[in-house]
Amino acid sequence: MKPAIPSREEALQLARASLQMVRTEVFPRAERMVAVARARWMFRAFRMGRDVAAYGPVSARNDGHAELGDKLTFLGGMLPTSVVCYEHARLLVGNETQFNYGASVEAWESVQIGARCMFASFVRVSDRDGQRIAPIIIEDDVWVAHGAILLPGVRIGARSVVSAGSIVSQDVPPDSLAMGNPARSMSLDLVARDATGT
Amino acid sequence: MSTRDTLRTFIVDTFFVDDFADDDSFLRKGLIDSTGMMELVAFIETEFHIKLDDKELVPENLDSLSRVVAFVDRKQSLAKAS
Repeated sequence: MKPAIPSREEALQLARASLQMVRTEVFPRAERMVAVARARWMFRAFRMGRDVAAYGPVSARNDGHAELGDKLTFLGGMLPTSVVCYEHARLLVGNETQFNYGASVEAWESVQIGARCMFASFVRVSDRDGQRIAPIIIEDDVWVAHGAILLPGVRIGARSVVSAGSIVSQDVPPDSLAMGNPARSMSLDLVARDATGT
Repeated sequence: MSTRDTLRTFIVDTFFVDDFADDDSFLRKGLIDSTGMMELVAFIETEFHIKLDDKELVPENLDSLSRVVAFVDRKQSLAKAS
């Protein structure tokens, strides 16, 4: 018995399904492979974990001791993200941290970033502001929103959020929301439902 | 105007909420968002001439009208005492 020739509809359906498969499975994976390869090239002067991906241009420079964790993501966009570690400086970035485009991280002495942090577009983190140099520490699970600036010497507590456009000049406690210029912190429990599971 | 009325008028005028009880949680009822909370803090500081510490910006002090009133009263009497 001859196998039935698929009808026009069936053939179309099959074609559509495979196209969908390519779109949702193959493209993202290919894109990720390109991003990982790009990151490997761009961060060749860095000590780097596995699966670091750069989906856009990153201007990276390491003259000191810079260490990147596993599974970092650098998104692409209008402007390159910049990661710079100057001579004798220390720059540590924890696992699974993400950077949007235009973010800038600069270490002159010491910048420590925890795991699973998120840095939105145009965020600026620098431990030198032209007057002084003081180390910056960002703990785990911190979210820094668009355009925020972290000044030298600040420590951002775990799970805290820095609002868009804020200028942080003082330490932010854990589980807080920092907002304004200069930023003030309030408990996340005050403004976010189930922020800390309480 | 009493502290309660001053605060209620400010909240109604600023956040366009007309009907809420003194014990309604600002957060859970969706009356005030995070930016609004900063506005409320700034208003309390200028209106009642008290300075709030960042550590005091917690739900126990600010999450309902009656809590804010009690908190402001407490701060004012502390300021007077010192």
